[in-house]
Amino acid sequence: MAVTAAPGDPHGATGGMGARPVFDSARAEGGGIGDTVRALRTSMLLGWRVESNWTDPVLFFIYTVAKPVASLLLLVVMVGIVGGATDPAVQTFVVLGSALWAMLVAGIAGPAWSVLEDRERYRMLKYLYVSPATLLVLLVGRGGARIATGAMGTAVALAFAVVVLGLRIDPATVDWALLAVTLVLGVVPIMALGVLLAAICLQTRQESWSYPDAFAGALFLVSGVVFPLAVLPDPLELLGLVNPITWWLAGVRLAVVPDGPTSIGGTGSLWTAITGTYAPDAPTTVVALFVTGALVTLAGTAIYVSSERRARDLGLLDRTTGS
Amino acid sequence: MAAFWLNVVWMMASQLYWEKSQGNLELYFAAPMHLMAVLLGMAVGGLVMSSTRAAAILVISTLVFGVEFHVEQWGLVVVVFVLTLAALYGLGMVMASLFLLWGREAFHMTNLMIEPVYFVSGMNFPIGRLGTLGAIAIVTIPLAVGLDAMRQLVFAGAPYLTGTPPPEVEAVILLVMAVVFTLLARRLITAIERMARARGSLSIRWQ
Repeated sequence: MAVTAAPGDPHGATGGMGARPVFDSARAEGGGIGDTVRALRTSMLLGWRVESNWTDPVLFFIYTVAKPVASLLLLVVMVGIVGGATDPAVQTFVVLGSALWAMLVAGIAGPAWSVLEDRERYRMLKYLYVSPATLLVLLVGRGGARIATGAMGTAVALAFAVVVLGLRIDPATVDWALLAVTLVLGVVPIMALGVLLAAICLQTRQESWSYPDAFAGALFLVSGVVFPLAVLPDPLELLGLVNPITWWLAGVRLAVVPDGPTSIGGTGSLWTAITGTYAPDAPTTVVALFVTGALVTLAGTAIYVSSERRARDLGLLDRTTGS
Repeated sequence: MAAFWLNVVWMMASQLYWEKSQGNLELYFAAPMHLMAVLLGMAVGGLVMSSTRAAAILVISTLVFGVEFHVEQWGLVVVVFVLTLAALYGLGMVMASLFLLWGREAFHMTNLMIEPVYFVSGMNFPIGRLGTLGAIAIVTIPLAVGLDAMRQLVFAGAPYLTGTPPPEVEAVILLVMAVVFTLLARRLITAIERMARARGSLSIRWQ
């Protein structure tokens, strides 16, 4: 417990005889930017260690990269067989979408699985809740560690695609500024979706472990990951257009392969019907990502705050079900 | 078939690891029955649960996407389906015994057995296109051989299903797998239970 000198007490808390310790509630509540950053950093480090410190680095590396590489191969071979001779542009479209998807799945599962692991398995959620840092910051930190793990898988999958599958990415034509902006802006809504799922998992019990995968599966349909939105019915296409992940993927594709196929516009797409343009350009993509990302982040945070309050009121934070 | 595979790896192979983490594993070993009986009960329960999911996917694919099945040998379809499930859940029992030894590797191993196994089993494409890799998968992974046999039987005469043995041969492979995996599981469970008791690791949680 933090004790400090009371205002006007020259001796301080440990000062002369009879000095009265004063409880500094501000420090105990972990307020301020400095404490928040410290809590975020600590929870990221904790998340990384929970993920990785139980095994040797080689084994951890295999576990981390095998899944995205296999997902990539699954799609590339499928597209190659279905489409006959593989069109390099289509292959690049599929590879980028699939590789980035691994990062997204890791990111949205992170906070939700942190809630479930700490509540159901390690029984630590209640202690985290009463720690000076807010639970939301801790969950974001744990999610950040998982995004970092997912990003590692994404990077390896892309390297595999370039080296083994012969994916052609010309560094000279890559729009590095757009790539950086898109990647950074995209991480925020991914985390917000993770926080949203964490809010749901705070309320639910059995089968909650599969919610992130189920949610990611539904999101896969309306994000233009391996096929353009134009193939979907209009209502689903509209859902895809208000989904920040769609813009994130489109932005990365636009940055890496500026003249590649679009996942948003194109002949018969809702985008082209509404705007009259074939596909969104880079500024439009960044603005759309920012706006949709901000909306999802605000909604995710509001729902989380409400969920956390309800969980506390109903005593759900330490109610385990062995699920 | 993906529904059954997911059930095998998540609800069967890793089940004993989850039970250990929750402190229930001692109860399994203290129960007056062989662990194989517990695993068989889990297999039947999981099979029923997964069947509802598989049925839903079949109905949706038929009604929404207009998938048409062309079956010529209904009897063989049923035999292959049953043999595939027997081999799959036999493999699940083998993995469950191995997972008893592992700590957190179990979770990652489970993840490792989804997409990579989907790929080598030809989940989204005919396995014959994978060449030697596909051939190896057909003689080692029940999902691969069962999936290919089912495809050959429910899409009879499809020109793209080439390069693999006929369904009758694959049914024999599945039968061998079912017997071998079940016997192997029985031996492994006994051996690993003894090993785990000696190491005192049956009740170690969160390792």
